[in-house]
Amino acid sequence: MVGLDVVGQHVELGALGAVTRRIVALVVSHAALAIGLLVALRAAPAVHHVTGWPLAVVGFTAAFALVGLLPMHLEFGRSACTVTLVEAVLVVALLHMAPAGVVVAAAGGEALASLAHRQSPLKFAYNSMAVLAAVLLAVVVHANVVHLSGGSAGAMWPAAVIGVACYTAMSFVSTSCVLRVVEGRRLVAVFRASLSTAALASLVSASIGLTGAALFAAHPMAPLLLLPLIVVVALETRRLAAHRAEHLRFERLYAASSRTAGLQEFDGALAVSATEARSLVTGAAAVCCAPDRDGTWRGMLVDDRGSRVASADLVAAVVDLVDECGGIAAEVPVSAIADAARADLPAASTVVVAGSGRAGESPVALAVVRDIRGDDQGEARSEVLGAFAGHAALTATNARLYGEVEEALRHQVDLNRQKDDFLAAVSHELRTPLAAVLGSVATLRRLDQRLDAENRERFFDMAARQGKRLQRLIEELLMIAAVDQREAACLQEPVDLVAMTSELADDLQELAGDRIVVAVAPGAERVQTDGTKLRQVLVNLVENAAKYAPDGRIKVLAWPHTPGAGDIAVTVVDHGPGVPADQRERVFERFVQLDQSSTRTQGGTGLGLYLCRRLTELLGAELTLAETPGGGCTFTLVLPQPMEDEDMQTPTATRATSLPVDVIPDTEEVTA
Amino acid sequence: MRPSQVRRVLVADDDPDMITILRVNLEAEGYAVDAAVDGQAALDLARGTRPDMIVLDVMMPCIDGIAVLTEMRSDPDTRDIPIVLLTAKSNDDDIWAGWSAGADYYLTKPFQLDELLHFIEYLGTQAQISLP
Repeated sequence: MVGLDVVGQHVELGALGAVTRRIVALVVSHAALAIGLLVALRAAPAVHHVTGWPLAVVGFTAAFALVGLLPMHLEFGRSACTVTLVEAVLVVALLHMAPAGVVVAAAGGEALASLAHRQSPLKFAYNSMAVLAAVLLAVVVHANVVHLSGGSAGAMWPAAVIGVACYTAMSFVSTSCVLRVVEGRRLVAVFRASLSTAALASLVSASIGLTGAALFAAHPMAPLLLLPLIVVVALETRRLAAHRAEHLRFERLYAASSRTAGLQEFDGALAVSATEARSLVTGAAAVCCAPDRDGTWRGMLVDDRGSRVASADLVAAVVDLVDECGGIAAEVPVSAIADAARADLPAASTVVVAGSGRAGESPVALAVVRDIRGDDQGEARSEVLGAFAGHAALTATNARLYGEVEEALRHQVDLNRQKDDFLAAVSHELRTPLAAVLGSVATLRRLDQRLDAENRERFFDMAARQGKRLQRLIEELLMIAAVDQREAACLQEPVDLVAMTSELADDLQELAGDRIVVAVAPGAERVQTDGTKLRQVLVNLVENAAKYAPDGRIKVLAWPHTPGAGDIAVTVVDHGPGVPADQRERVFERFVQLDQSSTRTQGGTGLGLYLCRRLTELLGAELTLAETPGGGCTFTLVLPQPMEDEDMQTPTATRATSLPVDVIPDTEEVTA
Repeated sequence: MRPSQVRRVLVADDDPDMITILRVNLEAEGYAVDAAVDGQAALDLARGTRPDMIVLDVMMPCIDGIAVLTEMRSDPDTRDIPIVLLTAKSNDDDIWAGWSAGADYYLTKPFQLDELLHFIEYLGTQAQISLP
C-alpha cells in the first residue's frame, strides 16, 4: 500500500472531531464497496488450485503485517512517498493463492500492522476497510483477466500485474479522499501532487514482488535472497523518514510563524496562535493565553466550532500548568487541568503545554489537548510546540504594543482636534471685539464732523470698552496657557480668608453695585493654599455673579466643609436666573455662554469659569455649581486641608456640613 | 422721491456695538437701517420688510447666519435679496461654507468699513440696472 506523505505527516484520523463524521462516511462507503466486490468475487470464476491452504494464508498474513510495519521512505524531487512493499507481497499472493485467501491475508495483515502501531479505532477501521476494498478489487480484476485469457499459465503474470495496478489505483483514490476530508485540500490538487510519486512507489514495490515470484519459480527458497536487501533498505529509510518528518514539522512551524506575524488585534493574535498551535500538534482544541495591556491574562480557545474567549478558570489553569512545567514544553495527561476548568474543552487524553508562563519578558501560555492515545511522537510534538510558543509570545507582545500605540495615537488626534477647535474659537472671540474697536475708530475718522457730540462720545466709549474686553480676553488666554502648560506653580501658604474676602469685596463693590456681602464662619478664617490663585477664582466667580444676576445680594461665604477632615469651603451665592441642572457642567467649558444674547452686553469672554475650573484643579480643590434655594447659582469651592493640630480640628468637628446660608440675612450689611 | 428709492439695509448681528457702527455709517450714506440681534429676528424682518440688501453675522443665537442665508435662498420671495456675510469666522472651511450657501460677499471681522460701504453701494447700482 502507498502511504501518501504529501504534507510530511501521517494523517492522524480522529484528531479532528468535526471531520470524524465524514471519515466515518468514508469508512462506510469503503465497506459498501467491499461488500459489492465480495459478491462479484463469489461470481468470479475459479482461477487456480489452492496451494497450501490454510498455511499459506497464515504465511502471507504475516508477510502483509511485516511489510505494513516496515515502510521504506523514498524521496522523489520535492515530494516524498512511503513504499510499504504491500504490492510486492500482493503480486506473489495473487500468483500462489486462491482469491479468498489473498483477501483474508491482506486484510488480516493490515489489521495486525494497525494494532502494532496502536492506531485509534477510527483510523484502524478506515485503514482496514480501505485495504479490504482495494484487495477485493485487485482479486476480482485478477480473476476475471485470467478467465478472459482462457486460464492459460502465461496469462497469470500479466493478470497479477493488472490486479496490483487496480489495487494501487484504489488505495490512491482512498488516500486522496481522506486527505480531502481531513485537510480540506482539493481532490484534483492532491491527485496532481502525488500521482507521480505514488506511481513510482507502486512500481518499485510491484517490481520487487515480481522478482520474488520469478525467483520462487526457480526455487521455493530463492526469494529469501531478497530479504537482507529489503531489511537493510527498510531500516535505512526509517531513519531518513524520521529526519524528514522533523524537517517537515519545522517547515510547518515556520509557516505557522509567518502566518502569525504582524497581527495587530490582541484577541485575534491569540486566536491565530491557538489555531496554529492546534494544527502543529494535531490537537482537538488549543488555548493561547497572554497578559493584555493591563496585565490581566486573557486566552482564546480554538476548537472545531471556531475560536472564542476562554473562560477565566481555563486561562488560570493553563497558566498554572505551564508555570508548573517551568517553561519547558511537555505532554502530560489531561487530568493536569482541573475538571471544572476543562468544561469548555472536548474530551481528550493528553495535553501538550508550552510557553514561558508568568515568567519572562514576553509571557505566553499554550495548551493543546489531544484525544489520540499516546505514541512515540510525544517528545517531538512538545519540542515543536515549545519552539512555536516563543513566536506566539512575540505575536502577543506585538499586538499588545500595537494596541498601545494605536490608543496613544487616537488620544493625540483627539487632543489635536480639541486644539484646532480651541484655536478657531479663540480666533473668533479675538476678532469680534477687535472689529468693534477698529469699526468705531474708523467711524470716528470717517464721519468726523458729521457726528454730533453724543455719538462721538458713544464711539469713544465703545472703542475703550471693547478694547478692555480684548485686553481681558488676552489676559485670560495667557493665564489658561500658563495653567495648561503647568507653568503656574502652586504655592502652599497660610491665607487669611477674612482679609482676602473683605479686600475682594471692596475691589468689586463698584462693579457689582454694592451688592456683595461676605462672611467667614468660625473655623474657616485660615486656609493653606495658593492665595493668588484662590483670589483669581473668587474674583471670577463674583464677577460672574455680578454679570448674570442683575438683582439680589451676592454672598461670599467661607465655612468649614467636612467635620474632622478640616476642609474649608468658599461659596459664592447669587439670586440670578440660575442654570438648568443638565447644563451645570457645561458652564465650565471653554467659550460656553449659555445665554448667547447676553454675551455681548455682559462683555463676558466665555473663559472665566473655565479658568476657575482649571485653577481649582491646580489647587487640588473642587468647584461645583448647585442651585441657590429660591433660584440662582451657588458655586462652591472646597479646599482640602492638610491635617492640622488638635485645637484647629475641635471646633470644626462640631460644625454642620450643610451650607450656612442663613448666617447672613439678605438685608444685613456684613461687608467689611 | 418715491419711498422705494430710499434703500433699506437689514443688519443682523448679536453684538449691539456692531449694529451701532453699521447703522450710523449706513444712515450717513442715506440708507434706512433695520436691525436684528438673532437669526430668527433677521428672517422675520427680511420677510416682513423686504430689505434691499442684508448684512448678516454668522455666529448668532437661535439660528446662525448660514442657516438664515440657506433659508432665504430657498424662499422665492427673498431669493434675490443680496446678502453680505460679515463674520469673525475666518478659516477656509467657514468661508467656503458661506460662499456655497449663496452669499454675495464674504467679509471677515475686523473689516474695512469703506470696503463694506462700497460693496453695498455697488450692490445697489447692480439692482437698479436690473430694474425694468
